[in-house]
Amino acid sequence: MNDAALGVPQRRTATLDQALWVPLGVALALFAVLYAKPAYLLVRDWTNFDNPDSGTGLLLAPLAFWFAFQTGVKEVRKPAIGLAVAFLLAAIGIRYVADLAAELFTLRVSMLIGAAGLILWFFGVRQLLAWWLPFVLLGLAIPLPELVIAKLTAPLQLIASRIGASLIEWRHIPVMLNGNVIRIPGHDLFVAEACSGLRSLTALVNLGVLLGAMLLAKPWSRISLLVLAVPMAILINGFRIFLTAFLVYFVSPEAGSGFMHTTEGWLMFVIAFASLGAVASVLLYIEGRQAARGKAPVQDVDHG
Amino acid sequence: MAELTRFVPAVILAAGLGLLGLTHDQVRPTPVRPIASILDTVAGFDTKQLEVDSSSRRVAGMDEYVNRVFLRDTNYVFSLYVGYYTYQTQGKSIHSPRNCLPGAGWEPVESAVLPIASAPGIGSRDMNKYILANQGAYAAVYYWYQGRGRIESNEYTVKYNLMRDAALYGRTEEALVRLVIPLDTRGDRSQEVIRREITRADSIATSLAPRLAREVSAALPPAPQG
Repeated sequence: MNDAALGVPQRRTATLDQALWVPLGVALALFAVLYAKPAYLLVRDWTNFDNPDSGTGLLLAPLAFWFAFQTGVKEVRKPAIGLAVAFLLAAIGIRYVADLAAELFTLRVSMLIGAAGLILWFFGVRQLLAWWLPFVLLGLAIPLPELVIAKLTAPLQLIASRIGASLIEWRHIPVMLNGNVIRIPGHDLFVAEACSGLRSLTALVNLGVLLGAMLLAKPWSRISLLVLAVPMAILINGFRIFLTAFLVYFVSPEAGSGFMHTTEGWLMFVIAFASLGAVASVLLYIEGRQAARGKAPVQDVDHG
Repeated sequence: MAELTRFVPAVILAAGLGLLGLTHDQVRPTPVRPIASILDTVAGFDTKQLEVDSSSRRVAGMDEYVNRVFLRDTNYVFSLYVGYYTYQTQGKSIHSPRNCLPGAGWEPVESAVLPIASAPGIGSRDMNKYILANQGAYAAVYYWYQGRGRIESNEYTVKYNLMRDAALYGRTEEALVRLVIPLDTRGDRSQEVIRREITRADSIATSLAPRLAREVSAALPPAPQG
């Protein structure tokens, strides 16, 4: 399958007005100096393997640049000067305040806003829209603030615990749920923060964006894929909790920790990825059917 | 596009660099009274000072702190930590106990927000409460952020105020105030015993918090004017 079939935009190159080379070069140099610290801190987080939550950036960022390269520069250049200035001023303001308050997420987001400002000035709105996917991927590559992670983790832990306990009950194993502690005969299973499923949820959302951009063409199908990725991740994580309890009860208490638990986690992760791929395929099929229906010749109807 | 207007983005970015140069001119107010003097005695309790080792201090980044255990008949009843930061910047800022405490096997199982009665200053004047569990052991943690005239429990509001005050007054000094109360379940993990112990911990925290907030307020620099 070639890139065109995958929905990847075909590379188009346009020549930038030579008079803009020097202003662009100067602006890029200043941008690099201004954002050297946020960029360094971002790469440092991506490569901090003690915190695997941030590591997806190592995959997403190169992909973003590759997609930007593949898309290339549009031929029609109509700079959006007012919007560009607004973006650049906003980026500077956020960069300044976020630095003062040591707020990493907004500091990093300001880098994207600044980049968008430069694109708007030198290439125009159409170029920014053409590079939506690289921008979305770079946005996803920015680790969520700890506060947001903490806020999301607790409810996800409880949901996963509830789903797990319901499935255990369904299999006629006596179970008592106390917050995120699942009690089965002889064992207390603690659904820890790491089991909240947030990591698999973010991974599935990232994959949903990639699959949506590469395979699907319609906004509704791309959004559907993203929306479906959320309950899928939650349900599969709940099933993982059930599987752990099932194995602990029937096989060995060691299934609740260590190598077996990790392997089981990876297995569920692969299943989640495959499931999302399957959903994307169904959406692709529906899109195909709709396209075929749209192209079908109008049948003569005999009203006779 | 006129020759010079092409350089507008470069001019804006250069202005941004200039603005960043001002970041280092932040005010770094020191406490009015030593942080170690906060809640130095509580009637009916013996106290024991705990040192934070140098590597943990470097990671936490606080400029002054008090870390004190309160004992009754040699039994650990509760502990107090107040960490004060004269200024906050990248690599030197208050870490939320919500993210730091659940290390070493401790996991939050319950959370709530409790009011601090007759607390001084402005802000929500609430404290966060977390019940943590670790292999059958439980502890209640109560904490809030205090500084620049505010007492705040909501960490988003804390961040917003930090950015606002940094931009308006060049001030980011703040203290994290934290009480930890172990729940004495004696191995009994029944709901009844845990609930009873949480109620006891709440009672200790809510009775101490107003005095603690006032003493912290008296030790910290006055709120910025304007």
